[in-house]
Amino acid sequence: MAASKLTFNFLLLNFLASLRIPEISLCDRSRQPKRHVAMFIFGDSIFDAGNDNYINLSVSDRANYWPYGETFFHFPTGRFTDGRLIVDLIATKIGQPFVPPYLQPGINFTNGVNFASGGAGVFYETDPKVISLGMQLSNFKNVAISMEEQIGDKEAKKLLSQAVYATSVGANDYSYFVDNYPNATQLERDEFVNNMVGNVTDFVKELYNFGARKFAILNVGPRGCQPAVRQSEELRGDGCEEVSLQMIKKHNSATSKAIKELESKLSGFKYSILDFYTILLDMIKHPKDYGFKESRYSCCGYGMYNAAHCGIEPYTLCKNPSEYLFFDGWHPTEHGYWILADLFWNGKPSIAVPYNLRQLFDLESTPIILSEEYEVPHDE
Amino acid sequence: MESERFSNFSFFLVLFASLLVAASCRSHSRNALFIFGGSWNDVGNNNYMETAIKANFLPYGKTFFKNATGRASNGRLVPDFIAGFAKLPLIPPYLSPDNNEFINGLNFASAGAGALTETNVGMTIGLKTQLSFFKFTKNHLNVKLGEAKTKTLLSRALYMFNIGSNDYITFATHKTTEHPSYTREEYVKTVIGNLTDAIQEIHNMGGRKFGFSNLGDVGCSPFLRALNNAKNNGSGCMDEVTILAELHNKALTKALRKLQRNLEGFKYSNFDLYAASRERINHPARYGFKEGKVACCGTGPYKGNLTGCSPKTACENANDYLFFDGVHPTEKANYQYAKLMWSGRADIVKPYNLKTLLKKI
Repeated sequence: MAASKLTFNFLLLNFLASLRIPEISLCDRSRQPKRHVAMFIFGDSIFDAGNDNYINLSVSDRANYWPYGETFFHFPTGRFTDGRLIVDLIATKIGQPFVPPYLQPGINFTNGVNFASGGAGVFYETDPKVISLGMQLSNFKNVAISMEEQIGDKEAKKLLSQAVYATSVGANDYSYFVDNYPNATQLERDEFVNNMVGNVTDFVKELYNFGARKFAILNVGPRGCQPAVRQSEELRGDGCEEVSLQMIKKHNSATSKAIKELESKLSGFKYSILDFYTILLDMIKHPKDYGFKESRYSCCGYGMYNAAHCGIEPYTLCKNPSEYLFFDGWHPTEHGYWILADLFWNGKPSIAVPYNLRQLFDLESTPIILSEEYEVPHDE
Repeated sequence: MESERFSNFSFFLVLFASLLVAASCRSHSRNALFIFGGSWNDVGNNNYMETAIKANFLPYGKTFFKNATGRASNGRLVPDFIAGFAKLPLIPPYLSPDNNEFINGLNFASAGAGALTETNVGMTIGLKTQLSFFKFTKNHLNVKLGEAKTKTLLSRALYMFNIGSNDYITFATHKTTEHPSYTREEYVKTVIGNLTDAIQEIHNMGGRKFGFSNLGDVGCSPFLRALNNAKNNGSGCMDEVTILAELHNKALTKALRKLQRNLEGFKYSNFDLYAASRERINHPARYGFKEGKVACCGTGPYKGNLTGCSPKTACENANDYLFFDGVHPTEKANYQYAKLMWSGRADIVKPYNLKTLLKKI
């Protein structure tokens, strides 16, 4: 009696143990089968995977020449760094190919599309030569429509609602503002910040109307502490350009608040705000804590902090980019992005709020109710 | 008399010199290796992913590397040995930051991968994604070597595939939610179709020489024996998977012949892993193994539980075993399979073995 009970328990235990094996999900309802998650990517050079290659820009506004891409890709792809971006590393984490840039010929949208454009801002005026956020939104709408035509309404809506929408935008607008309005009053600065926050929130709402439910939003980085700015302002020691820093802090705080409010208004809306500002600033101040030898000087460039015109003679290139936080005057190295991607993926509450990326990608989306649509109010 | 001896001597001198020249010319022309597939070929790509399907902990790797590398075995895998036979260094995983030796090729394989995108989606790098990484590699070769040299490199390279078992394990253990009403034949057709699509894409990009393994006797692996035991209350191999493997292997043979007819310059080698593994499972002693049914490392019946492999549950001597864990061969077995692929005879690898395939223009 006892023996057969033991055998039964052993077999049962083994059966239950086998349920944990990844290849099988037998009757385990708590483990939802993983889905294919597309990524739609918007913003500036933190996320641009090559769109700027295809528009008529001067050399210094693009990154499709050596030594950009020297690590990992071993050729310039148009990414403003030596290797992969945060969005590339996240795609790899979920076993997907790198999301292709919108303007690249012959792409398909199965894994999503990357609309980001280096130099872009929320406002068109920030840089009329590149693809502003508004135009990126139009491009997205084109893709959504052609998606419906190609795979049908139902499948398209499913893909759009399960996708993650990643954004990194704002730094170029604040650069534009402090460069062009150095004598702005505090009131004018605050007004600009309010406009920025309002526009970002509207952008998110418009995407929601098109079916988007999951948002990964990078806040604006500490523009003003990058080697390029410190070099052009000729700042010594630890100094950063303070005006933009203050505006950006206000922007990040207000945007967090506004996005949080959306959660209660928009059904099924889920987001993750990634604190790029705090982490990058900490990496600049304490590079050794993150495994960098150098955070003040760029690996590639010219001048006081080696921060100007990487890749355009005369310039110097460091031997080992992974020792540096910054590849050129503005952008982290692949090593820097690697650490950021890991922190955002696994992030504890202060780094990624309220979900980290792993959770955001895992969340089940509420399916879109086709008959209801949220109208963007005209006055907020 | 003297002049005759002299002319004989000079003749041999010229002959000798020309042989030297010929030999040194050949040694400059190496064949790059590009590797695709699942855990049979994965040398560490999954280490860079967020997935539970990983072998980056001891005792994996213990015998040869002394440390875990991401290979699902106690030592080297088949592609490692093939690289050695082809006089190449170990081919690194694509996602490794140290993937600089790209002129010798790259390894895109990912544990858990299937020919179908749905197979283990999100937990592995499927075949289509592996192909997208290969496209990036081609671009980079174009920049580094120029288009002409790249074309040559890609046409002389060997493209190795080992894929399908994860698709069929998924199918056999639960009808996929994507294809709930597929018959076996339809499913096999889809898997083979995806594989031939990938082959055609590589051919379009310049690839000409392809090395395949058909599906091994996976149904008789410790993992599936144990599963058959638990799920079906059966004893012995999981027949559903065996049936699928046989259907796949027939369809693969047919598909490869068709590709040879239709694709210009396409040449291939197809290793009968099914026969080779079946032989070793049933007659381990003939091949130097003590155990062909039970795994070296794991828990449960046949030590087939894949998640149960740890330093505590590992056997004393992996060389006695055909299987290291529930599905993956030991290094010793991998060596034997690789040797057969490289220089085996027509009964086990057709129409060419790899050595002959690489010699062909």
